[in-house]
Amino acid sequence: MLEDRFQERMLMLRSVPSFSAVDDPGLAYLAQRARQMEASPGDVLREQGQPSTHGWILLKGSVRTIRDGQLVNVVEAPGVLGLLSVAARDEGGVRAEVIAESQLLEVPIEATNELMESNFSFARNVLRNLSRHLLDVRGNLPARTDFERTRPPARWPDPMTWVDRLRSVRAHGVFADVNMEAAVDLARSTHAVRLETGQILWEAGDPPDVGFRVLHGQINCATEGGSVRVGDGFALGVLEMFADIPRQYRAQVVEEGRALRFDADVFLGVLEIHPGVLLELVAGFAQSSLERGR
Amino acid sequence: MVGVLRDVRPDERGLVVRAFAVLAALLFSHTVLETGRDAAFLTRASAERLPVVYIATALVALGWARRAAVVGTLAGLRNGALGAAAVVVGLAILLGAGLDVAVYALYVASGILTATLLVHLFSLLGSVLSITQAKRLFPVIGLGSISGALAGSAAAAELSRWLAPAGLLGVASGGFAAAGLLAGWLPTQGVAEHRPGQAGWLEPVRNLLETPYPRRVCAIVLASAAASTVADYLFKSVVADHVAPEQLGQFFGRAYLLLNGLSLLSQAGLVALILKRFDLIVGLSTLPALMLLSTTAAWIAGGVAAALLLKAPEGILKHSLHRTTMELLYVPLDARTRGRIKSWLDLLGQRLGQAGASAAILVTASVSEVWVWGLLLVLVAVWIGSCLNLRVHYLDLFRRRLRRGWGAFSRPRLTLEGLETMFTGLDSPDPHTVLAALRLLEEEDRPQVVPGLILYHPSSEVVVAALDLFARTERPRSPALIAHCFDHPAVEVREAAVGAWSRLNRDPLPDRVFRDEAPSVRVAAALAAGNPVDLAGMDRNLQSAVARTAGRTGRAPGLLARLSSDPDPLVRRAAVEAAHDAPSVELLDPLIRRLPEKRLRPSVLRALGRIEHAQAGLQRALEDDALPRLVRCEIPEALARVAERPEEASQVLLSSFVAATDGMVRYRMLLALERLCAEFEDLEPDPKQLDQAIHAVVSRAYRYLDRALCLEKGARDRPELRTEGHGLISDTLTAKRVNAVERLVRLLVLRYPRAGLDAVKRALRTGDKEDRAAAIELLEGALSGSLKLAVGALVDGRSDGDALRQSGRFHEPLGLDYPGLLQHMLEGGSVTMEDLVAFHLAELDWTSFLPQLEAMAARRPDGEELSRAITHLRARAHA
Repeated sequence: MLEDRFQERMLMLRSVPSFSAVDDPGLAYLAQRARQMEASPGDVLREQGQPSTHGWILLKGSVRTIRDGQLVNVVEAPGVLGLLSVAARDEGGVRAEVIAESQLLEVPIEATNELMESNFSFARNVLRNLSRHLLDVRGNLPARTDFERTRPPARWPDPMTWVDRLRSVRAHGVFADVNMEAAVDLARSTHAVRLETGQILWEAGDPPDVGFRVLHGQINCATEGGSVRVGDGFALGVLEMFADIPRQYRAQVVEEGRALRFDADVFLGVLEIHPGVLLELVAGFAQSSLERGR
Repeated sequence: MVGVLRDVRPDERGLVVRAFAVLAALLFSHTVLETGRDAAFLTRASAERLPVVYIATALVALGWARRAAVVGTLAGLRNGALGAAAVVVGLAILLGAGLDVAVYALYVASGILTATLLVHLFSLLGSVLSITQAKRLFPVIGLGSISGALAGSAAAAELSRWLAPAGLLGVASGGFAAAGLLAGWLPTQGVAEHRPGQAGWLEPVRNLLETPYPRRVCAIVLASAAASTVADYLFKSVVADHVAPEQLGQFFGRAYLLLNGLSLLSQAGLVALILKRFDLIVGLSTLPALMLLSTTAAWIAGGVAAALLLKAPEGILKHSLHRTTMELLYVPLDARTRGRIKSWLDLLGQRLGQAGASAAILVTASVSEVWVWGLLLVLVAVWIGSCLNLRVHYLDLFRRRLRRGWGAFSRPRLTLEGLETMFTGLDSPDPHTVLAALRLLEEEDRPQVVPGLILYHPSSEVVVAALDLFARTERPRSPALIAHCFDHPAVEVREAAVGAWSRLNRDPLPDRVFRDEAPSVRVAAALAAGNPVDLAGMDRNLQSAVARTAGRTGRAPGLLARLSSDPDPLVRRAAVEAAHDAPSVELLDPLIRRLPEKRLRPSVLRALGRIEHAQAGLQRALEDDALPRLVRCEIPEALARVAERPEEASQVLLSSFVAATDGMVRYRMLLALERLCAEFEDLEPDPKQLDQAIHAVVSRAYRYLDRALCLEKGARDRPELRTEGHGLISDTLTAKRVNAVERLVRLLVLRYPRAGLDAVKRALRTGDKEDRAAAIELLEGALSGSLKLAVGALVDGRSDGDALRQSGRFHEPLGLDYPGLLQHMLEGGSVTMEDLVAFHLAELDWTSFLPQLEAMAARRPDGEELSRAITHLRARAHA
């Protein structure tokens, strides 16, 4: 029965812009696992606190999400529901209640988990969408934690060998605890660069081809609407890199220092062969999104 | 014995000791109870009344089985044992009071109580332990059964000289009470909740009949019980024929003592050995296989020696190997099913088997004793058949567990209904739906059903996509329809129309196109008309337009090749996307070099898929070490995507896999092989090549494990070695081993495609304890011999030291001290390890390594870490 309407589900999935970058095998897998369903206002897709067993792709209609009696979000078609909590490993989740006649594809969580681990284009797509969402809620600026140095910056040898870069990559952030080979692969493909005061790393509108891990120094990131200062240990420009959208702000060095520079393609290549790191990033971004939602 | 105990991990010791003690106490009590019971029965009643108590026991067992179906809880075991103690004491008092009916009640109770408590105990253990734990621990716990029975026999023999039967019952009661108290210490974590009364009378029977696995377990229980009964009958009848009646007691005493002793030895060594080296089914089949041989030999030979030969396998293995493997059969079942089925089979199945065999003996013995021998052979053959038949269903239990929610995927063929769906999609007001339908129709090779009128769609994106589809598939369309697009307000539509026109029509382009207000349309028209274009004066947008038109018209592949390497990403992207429309072998190399660019890769892969001989080109590139590493990483997947001759591609990938020195490239080759096998369901990569690759990866995993052990031992002996560099090396070795094991599992999935291993890799990485156990059981079910031992040790979570002992032919232990290990890693050929060791040597100021580092630096002059370490160590040496 499911196979009878496979092409219909493929068509539906292909029509959802947020799935546009998922490759054919990934979409075909989803289409095979998904179940078409319709829901009316008042129908509850899931209750808060219940284990997540399914996610939904909203093709028509709208659904609201509620946590602890408070409205969290109203999802309009085309949109995705229920996958953020799973990606964030948030066991509580939200209550999802249909508020307009809706058409959905229901996908077992096991199928999306399987895809996350085995299909890079799907995982990459999730990372892309999460990054775009985070950028959106952050006003297209880096995380609003204006930098204030509380201890002397770490001193790294000059020049830095790749082993030094490995040590700095593992000093904090997502690569501190991941599989060492992933950290090695990233460290080998980064370059240590100097940050000169006044240097412009990029302008708004530039392509997101590189990212920086600031070793020490300060950078001011400014849009017309505001600015944020970032410094030691911050991973700058990564969100746009994952979101695959042009820079939204100008990044200018305001205190000289050093940074590790990595190319977007190389970084994504590392994530592709180390899906564990990619999943950690997705979990981290999803948790940030949920926290923002709260 | 020591080997068996070594299998118990530190965190399991408490459970094993308690379970052993409970089991020993139960069997001790049961043996003393049986002695007291028999003495009481033969003095108060007579042997002629035995059939009455057999029938009574069977009837009570039938009723009890339903009550006992709620089993596997700690409270059930504890209260059951304490209740048994009370019942036995009560019966002892009644016996002491001279009430004869108490001996009948005692006989029935002795047949039910211990069996029920054992069902409770093993169901409880089945809930707490995974199947891999149970396979390691049941042989040890099972020692309690034999030890308790031996101790009970010895105690009963000694005590019966001093105590009346009622006194023996008192001792047995004390044993049950002790078992009850000991049971209170068993763990409760992980034990499933059971609710009485959730199932009807017949549910266990339905389970037995409806599901293949329990049905086959039932067949084994019935066949083994029947065969044992017949073997026992033949043993006793042969002995009775050859041994004088006054020597029978002594003969049986010695024979049973010998067999029980051997049984204990078997439990202590043989059981664990068989379960480790072979799978459960081999363990289960060993007893009937030996019985088949011994029965045949005994039948032919005759005499007392033959009788002993007949009895030996059963006497030695029934309470050791057979009992342990039978208990293991219930572990993979869910707690509820396990409790119900086990109680029915252990309480009733055994008796039904014995009753059926007794009836058959009566019938066959009345004809001739030869018929009884024949009956035994038939029963043993059925038993063996049932065991062998169980393998598939046993492994299916684990496959089903790991496959919850998904199964094999194969893309369905396009149906008429599907075609209608796509056709309807073309009518959608939503451009995304129309674009999706266009793409699906092209993928399904049905572009001809796209109507030309789609060029009137309000979305310019849809019109461009349709024009490109028409041009690419070279389906003639009415020139008027395309000409209408020359007046379209969107520049990109007019530009696309130029390409489609020149591809589909022989007529020259209308003049107005050459005078279009948009420069990109004019450039497209010039190129389409065959006029030369000068890229030098063009901006990125015009160059992109040139690339698009070169693709649409299928002309100037050289120009496309050049633009695909343009420094400007926008131009490169346009060129690579256009390459899809104009596949040419000239584009092969430029496209391969664009593979590392993630944003371009989907387009590159699509374009490569349309180039003739792309497979041969990619195969050549795979072996080209001069290509940049990032490009070589991407080639395997590209090869898998475009392969038209999958066998050839798989051979090339596998031979390159074994030869490759770069771990990242090797991994990508493996992923590509997986993709190939998923795409071509009939493809089976060469088993010899896969075996070679598996051997290499297992060896590598053990090498990393051994190095990590040597490293850790060195730092334990000399804590000053535990520096940052030590940590980096240690973490790297751990990561390399983890990755090697993950890749090994992927290779095994490819090597044994019908073993259902595809869910194993995820279960090993992210599954819970039960999932991991199921994965390990499936893996071990597919493997045999030294590979099974070596792979099992890498994945089953045992300590590193224990794992290394199973490396077998895959790895010769290094046995190196700390400096020796660093030297070994410097010579290992891995640049990563060389640099990390150089960093560590500099940290430690170990100048003795200077000559070796200098020799390496001469071979690798760009090694920054080597140079720095040498500079540092030279300074230290001078100082």
